[in-house]
Amino acid sequence: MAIIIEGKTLELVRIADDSEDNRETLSDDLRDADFTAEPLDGPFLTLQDLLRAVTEGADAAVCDHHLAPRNYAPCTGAELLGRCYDLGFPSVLVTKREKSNIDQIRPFRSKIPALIPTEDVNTDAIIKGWEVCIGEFNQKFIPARRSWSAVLRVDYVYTSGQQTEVDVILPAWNSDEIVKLSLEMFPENIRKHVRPEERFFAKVNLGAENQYDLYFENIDYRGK
Amino acid sequence: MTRVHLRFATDILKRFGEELNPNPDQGILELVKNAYDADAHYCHITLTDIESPGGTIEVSDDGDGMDDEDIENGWLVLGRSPKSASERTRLGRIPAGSKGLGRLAALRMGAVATLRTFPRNNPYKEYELAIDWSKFEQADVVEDVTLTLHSRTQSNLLNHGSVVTMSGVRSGLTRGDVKRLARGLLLLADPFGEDKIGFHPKLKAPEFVDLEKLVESKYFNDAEFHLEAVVDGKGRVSAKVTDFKGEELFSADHQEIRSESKDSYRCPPCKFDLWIFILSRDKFITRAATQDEVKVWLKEFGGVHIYVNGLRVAPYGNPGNDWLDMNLRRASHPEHVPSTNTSIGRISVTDLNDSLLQKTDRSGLIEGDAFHELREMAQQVLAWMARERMRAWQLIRTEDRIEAPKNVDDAKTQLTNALRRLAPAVREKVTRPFEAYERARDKEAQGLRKEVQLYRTLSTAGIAASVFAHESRNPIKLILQNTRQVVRRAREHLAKSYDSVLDKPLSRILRQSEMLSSFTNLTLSFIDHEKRRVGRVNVHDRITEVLKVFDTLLKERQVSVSLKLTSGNPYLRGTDAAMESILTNLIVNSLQAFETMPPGPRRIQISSEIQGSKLVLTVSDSGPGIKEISLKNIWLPGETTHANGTGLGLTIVHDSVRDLGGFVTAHAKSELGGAQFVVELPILGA
Repeated sequence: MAIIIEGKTLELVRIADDSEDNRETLSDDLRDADFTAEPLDGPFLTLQDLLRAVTEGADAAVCDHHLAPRNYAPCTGAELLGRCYDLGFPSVLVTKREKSNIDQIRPFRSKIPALIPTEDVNTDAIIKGWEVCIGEFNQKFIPARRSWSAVLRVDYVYTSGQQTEVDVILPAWNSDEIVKLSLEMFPENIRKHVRPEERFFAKVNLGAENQYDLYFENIDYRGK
Repeated sequence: MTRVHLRFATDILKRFGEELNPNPDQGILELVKNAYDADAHYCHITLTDIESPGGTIEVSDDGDGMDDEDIENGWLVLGRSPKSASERTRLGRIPAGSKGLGRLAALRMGAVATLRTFPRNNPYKEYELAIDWSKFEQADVVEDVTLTLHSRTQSNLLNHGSVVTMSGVRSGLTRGDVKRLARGLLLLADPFGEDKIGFHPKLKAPEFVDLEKLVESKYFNDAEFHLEAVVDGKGRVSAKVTDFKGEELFSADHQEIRSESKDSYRCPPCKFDLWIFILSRDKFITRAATQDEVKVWLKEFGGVHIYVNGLRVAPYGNPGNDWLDMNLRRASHPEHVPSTNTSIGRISVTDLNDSLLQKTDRSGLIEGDAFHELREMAQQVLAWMARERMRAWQLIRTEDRIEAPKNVDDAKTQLTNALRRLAPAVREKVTRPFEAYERARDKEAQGLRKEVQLYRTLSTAGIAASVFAHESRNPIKLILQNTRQVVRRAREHLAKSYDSVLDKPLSRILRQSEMLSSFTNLTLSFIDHEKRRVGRVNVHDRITEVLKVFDTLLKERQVSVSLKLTSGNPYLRGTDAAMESILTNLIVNSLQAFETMPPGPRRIQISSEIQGSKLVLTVSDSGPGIKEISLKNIWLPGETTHANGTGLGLTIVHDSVRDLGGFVTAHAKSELGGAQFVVELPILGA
């Protein structure tokens, strides 16, 4: 049995995960919901190889964020989903809700409409995720995903080892909450301005309920 | 009917003498204890030409001496049980008398033993008895040799006491024997306290002069702390600790010290004194004694000695005898727990009921209930003191933390004022370097604060991980147990359809639970406190152990490990924890490196090689090598190229290697293609 979302039929689902038990478990869940599930055995030597395996001939995908630990693929699930989004291929990302994961995912978050915490994975959540994806492909954004122009103020810049983190405050979203961005998210030509009290502009989904779901696009510096 | 008797072959004298009491000093000490029992005030031990066979040993005292009956029914009777402690001597001493076997050993040290004695109760008499041991060697049974007791009238009526002489000493006494004897004599009558019992054994030998001087030094006033604990007649303990000024720091009653069990101690009444020294230069600046003098003194006499009814019982407090496990306990809190090298003490027991009996071979007390309780009391008192000192230290630390920034500010103000008073030209020259110094210091302080915070966070994570790992064991066990139960029942009820419906998911539950169980064990294996004890570390055993712990994870991550270990079992002195920290962090470093490269073979190679007195341990991997960070920076805390890295792993490797007296170098590329770490450690053997 397949489901139809906004006229698009979803039947064959591919599953990418570096843990065989995870792939098989998810596949069995989807089969129980009458999808045709195909767990993808690795390894994949490039992101392109994995993208092809996930999308060719399939209708949708479910992907884990960490694909490298068990020698599966040289990229993250977030990178893969960014490419799937560009192809208009509905896919959901599964990951633990850990700060380090969210920081890694944030640069791709605008192209990841559905992120499901590991402990909440079930077929209903997956189908709902695909619905959000297909909606966005048809330019229908749910409130939590719609982007707005917003000002972000740099609160603190913190360098630890090789990484530089930038604490920013989004007054239009929540003036009491610090959001951490990596310096790499700022275009290279404006990074020199990244200092406490400096203000930047960006497209941000201000309707996000929590900062795990926030995304930032087109970060720009317009001077003092 | 024929009347017969048990008889003893003369060989029995050898069995009970030399073989049961192998150390000559113990035998002589038994003769000295006889003098104590005879209410002597002085006892002189004279050694003449004893370095080689043929010399003479003489033990003389000013005690009550013996008459013919005492000699025949006491001194010559071997193996009789000691007198009851409740029968006091004329001076009120509790007799230390033994079964006479130690005395036999001493008497047999020479070819001939002679006793001359002048009884106090018969001042006109003198008795003399000679035992020629060669006659026993010619006889079959002990009774075949007749001894002759001579008596004569003596003229010096003030003279009383006994003189025992062993002439023609069979084998010479080494310097070690004499030193042990001198030490035993000095400590016999509690030289640490006041002279309550008035008994002074004295050895005429050069070793004695040095040691006597040393023991008389009595550096008790230089101790930082004095612990006093008293167990009363009901077995209830109370204790207090005073500082070097005699002011009380902490005190506790029975309940606080005994903690878990509130029972009384089932040991005789006693007093436990311990003087604890802090052997650091700054503590001795204002003291009369030097740190080195106290160190030498403690090295000779340090530890906790036991005195039963006034006389010392060896070997407690002898060098190398740590009957209270003080050194072991010190390993966990070196600042707050005394060791036998930093403290000296005694437990004085009043044992009127013979609860503490000595072993026949004089190698200590019989380890019965009373002895165990005595030891437990002392250990619990020491543990209480350690807790109190730790608590006091925490308070000081908190105060220091509050005071430190204020002190820095005050010093800075003083310096700024001093600079202002300088001539403008000079001030300019001094101010700039000072400001540069201040910036550098602030940067360093900031770095240290970050490092401390990181260590604290990781320690908390470690504590939490160990708690959860511990608590997870039962749920994991239950998941496994119940799943196996479901498998059993499902197979029975579903028969053929089991394989297609349930086999896969249930197998996955079992597999993942077993993995979880192995990760729990991995976490718990790091917190075993035994691993933090300093001792012999067998390097290869540690490698095998760490790999065993990591086995499941390595398999899951598709990593193969090859070992190229040198033959033998190289070992060093340190802690298992330090060695395991090195290996664990290097393996974790490789695992993180593998995640940053495309899928492919993942290999770790661990090799060891002995080069002279050091072991070269090499850990290489087939990862991408060290890049995006310079080799000199990889050891710095907080430096990491991994998103989830703490930047502490290699710092810990560096510090742990240094703790073990070695050093570590890193290479960006190895023959396997990835990073290589070469650890050189000094070893004691292989």
